[in-house]
Amino acid sequence: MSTKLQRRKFLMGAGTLLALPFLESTVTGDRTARADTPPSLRRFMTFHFPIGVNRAAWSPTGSENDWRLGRSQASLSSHKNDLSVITNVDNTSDKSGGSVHTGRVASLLTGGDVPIGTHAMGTSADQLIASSLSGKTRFRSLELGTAILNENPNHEPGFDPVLKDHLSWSNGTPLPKEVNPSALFDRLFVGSSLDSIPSGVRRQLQQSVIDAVRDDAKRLQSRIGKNDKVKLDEYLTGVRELELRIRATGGACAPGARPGPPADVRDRVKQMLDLSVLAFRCDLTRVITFGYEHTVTEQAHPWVGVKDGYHIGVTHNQPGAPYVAVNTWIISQLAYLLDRLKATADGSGTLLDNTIVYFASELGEGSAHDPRNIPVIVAGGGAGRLRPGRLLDRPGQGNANLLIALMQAMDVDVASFGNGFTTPLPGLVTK
Amino acid sequence: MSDSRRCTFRWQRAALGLLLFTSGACSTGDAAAPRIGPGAQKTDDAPGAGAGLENDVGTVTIRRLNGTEFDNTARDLVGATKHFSSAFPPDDGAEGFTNVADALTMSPLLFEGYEAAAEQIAAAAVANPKVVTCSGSTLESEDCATTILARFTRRAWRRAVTAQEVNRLVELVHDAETSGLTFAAGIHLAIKATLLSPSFLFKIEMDADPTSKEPHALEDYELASRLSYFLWSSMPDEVLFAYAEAKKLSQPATFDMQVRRMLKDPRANALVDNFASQWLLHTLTTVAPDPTIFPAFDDALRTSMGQETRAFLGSFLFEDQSLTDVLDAPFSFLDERMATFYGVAGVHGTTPVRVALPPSSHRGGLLTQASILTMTAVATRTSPVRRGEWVLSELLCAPPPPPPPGIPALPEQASVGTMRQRMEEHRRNPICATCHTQMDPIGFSLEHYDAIGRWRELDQGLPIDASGVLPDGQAIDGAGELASALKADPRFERCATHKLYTYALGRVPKAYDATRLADLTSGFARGGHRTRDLIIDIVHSDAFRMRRGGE
Repeated sequence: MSTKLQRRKFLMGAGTLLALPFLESTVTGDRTARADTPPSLRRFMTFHFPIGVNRAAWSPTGSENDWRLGRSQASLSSHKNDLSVITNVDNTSDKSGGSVHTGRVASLLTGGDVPIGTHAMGTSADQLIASSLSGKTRFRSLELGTAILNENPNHEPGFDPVLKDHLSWSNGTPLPKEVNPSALFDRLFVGSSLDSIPSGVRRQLQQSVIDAVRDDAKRLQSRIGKNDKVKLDEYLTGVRELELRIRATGGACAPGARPGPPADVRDRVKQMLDLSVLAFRCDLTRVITFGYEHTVTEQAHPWVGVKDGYHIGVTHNQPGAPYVAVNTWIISQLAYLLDRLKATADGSGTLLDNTIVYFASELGEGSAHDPRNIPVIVAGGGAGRLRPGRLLDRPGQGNANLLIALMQAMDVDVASFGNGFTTPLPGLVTK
Repeated sequence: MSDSRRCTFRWQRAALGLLLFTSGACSTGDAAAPRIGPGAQKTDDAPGAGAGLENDVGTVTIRRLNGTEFDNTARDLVGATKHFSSAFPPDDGAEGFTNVADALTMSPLLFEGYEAAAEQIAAAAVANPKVVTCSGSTLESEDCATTILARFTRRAWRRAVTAQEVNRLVELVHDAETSGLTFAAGIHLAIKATLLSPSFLFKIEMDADPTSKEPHALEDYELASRLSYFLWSSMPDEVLFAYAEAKKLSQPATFDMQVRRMLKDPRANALVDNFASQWLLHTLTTVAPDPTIFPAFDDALRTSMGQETRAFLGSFLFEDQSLTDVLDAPFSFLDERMATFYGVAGVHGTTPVRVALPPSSHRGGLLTQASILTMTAVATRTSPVRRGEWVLSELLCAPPPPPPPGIPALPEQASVGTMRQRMEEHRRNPICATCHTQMDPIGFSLEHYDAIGRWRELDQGLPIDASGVLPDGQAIDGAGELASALKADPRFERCATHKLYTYALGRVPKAYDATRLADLTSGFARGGHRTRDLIIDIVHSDAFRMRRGGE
């Protein structure tokens, strides 16, 4: 039987075993070369937080080079020179504006419009960056969070629930977030149950399983409709990502202890941020999207004296001191992340020097569901592409323009992003 | 909200099949134009796309198994009882359900989860003598491997398999053995490949011509899977497979007999755990009352609350009772914890038993059950708005629109007065009042129940006023009168039909389903609102037994 013969030849011929041999060598190369990682190795991390801020307490004051942090940003004072704080940026790519939460979340990283009846977004900025780095690390990107919105149907009628709690999108596929720190740890550092088999044989066998299922999918592909093909494409993307991971097994980086179950959401945030820093340090990925809770979270924050649920209890009903108290705590979590990045050596400097942290919310003044003038901080040096320590007032600029600038800093040039955005926010990124 | 946006909203609701708003004479000029290019987004068809297609049976996209279906299928396939899906990212859904094909996407993270699960299920399979029925190295003869894998793939893929497909898997065993692995390890690998195949992970239905909109009957194996995943949330059993193989399942008498058999099978409880729970209970697992204000609430109570409502709803799915009685039934199913919670004497143990509710319990009907009352409160207090919104959205399929963007922030409210008094303040804002006059009277009528569903006479030390006027002018006072008003509301039977139809087909109804839904609803009403009869009518409908291509 001819197919059988081909298969056996395939397995015996070591030269043809790796259909994409450059990936193997690239990954191995990076890992062994980590001691002298060039400083140009750049990372991109999004830190999203929900439902905006009390604008009065947030707003920094002053001019570009002579400025003061806002009241709720006090925890960032030791990092003032690591920050580019940008004011008057609007998250209004969702021109339809038909939903107060859903559209703002869905458009934040995608720059897309979200008219009623939308089921999926295109590709988000983090994923465009991840695509450009695909194959360089074991994980193309990580999507992390602390909670998953369990709201179905969407309380904003006519809007798909999937749009309300996904920041990262790849070609119309929403990328779910991992919210369990120990599961993330296992994913990053624990190998498969086949690990006892010698790695060469193991990879061959895993590859042969992948080849078999891919054959099934291809047979199917010619016999199904248009919508079905979209689903099968998602499947094939999963197969390909798994294949890349099999080729890149191994981990030369000491992970430390596996995190236990988090005591509360504070602990969960800390564990997720620690694992993010570790994943960057070990060069397991260069793109991470972390979201604190979600756009209608009812998480209480009793450790800062706020027992009410955040969305209704605080942002709707107590937009004064309780709102500021929670904002202040969330911002202190960014300070923690920056502390950790700064404390980690990388190349000739620190991880913070080589990272771009994009910290933002989908709404500005959350109590009014106002998407204008959203809170945005860009932190880190971006391996020389950012000039932090400045306050940039950019009235009229959209968040999509800011993302175009950040993509450029990550060496990703897009002719058009999201809903037809083409120009970068000026003055943030140096060439 | 601009007029044009309101019009868009109106037609889109119709397109979504909720058919709650008549499409008026207003322009739909600002409707989303389809976009192309890398930033392209998928949106619904243009309005009117379904016009003139009343006999259109629709098409269901290939649908991956959701988490529950995956676990149940692994259980029925090889006897693996682990909840594999707890390690998967949660399923996205639509219209309240997580079995809607278009909403079930597959991310690389999920595929990683499938790989890990396939490894474990394959391990369970090779240890199962019902799967591994012989032994014999493929280095000598491929007969045994072929026998094992031909039988396994037919069950795992829920269809007839070709010799070529089986041979492809037998090669894997051979490859493994050539590499020095045992026969069992080779079978393990081949089974793993079977479980990672799209034929296992998706429910696939074929059209002879994928571009044709001409309706055609489902193939018998496809029909078996439609039935089993609707009624059992799992794969077909051997009886269904046998009828499918003989191409007899689609014969009317056989089909009807099989449906009735399946409804009597314990696996039909999946309708309670999935359909009914997703419809009416799905946020109970995540609700988090403040423990310092409500120390009486804990996870054990949460479990007991859920058990009560599931057992209660189950009695309506499988017994000859009108589903409208769910709103005011004078009985419930309580375990000892719930009985104590409600002040009902004489119940012992952790299994819920049917109990006639005494007037002193202030209970009767779904809306007085602690599960629903807790789910629709916020952490520190009741929320009449949420309760009202829940009733409108879930029981009447008439969700109020969300607040329009740009509402100025409410002034900080002093926490004085009853919840109702504080809410009345809110409703003086005319922008808010439009929708709050719909939601709030419903919520107010349930104010005698606190945020974890306990009966109370006072709120903040002041007497509770549970009266209100519904938007149609009907005055109500308290939960009992709310239940009577809902029972008489024709939107409830329409909503129940809509929900069950959506779940049965795994797709959101479209404009072309309107006539079919109206017919199903009137049949449901005529027959005394018996859910079992509605299930049988739905599976007999052409939308369930047929499909078409073209999308």
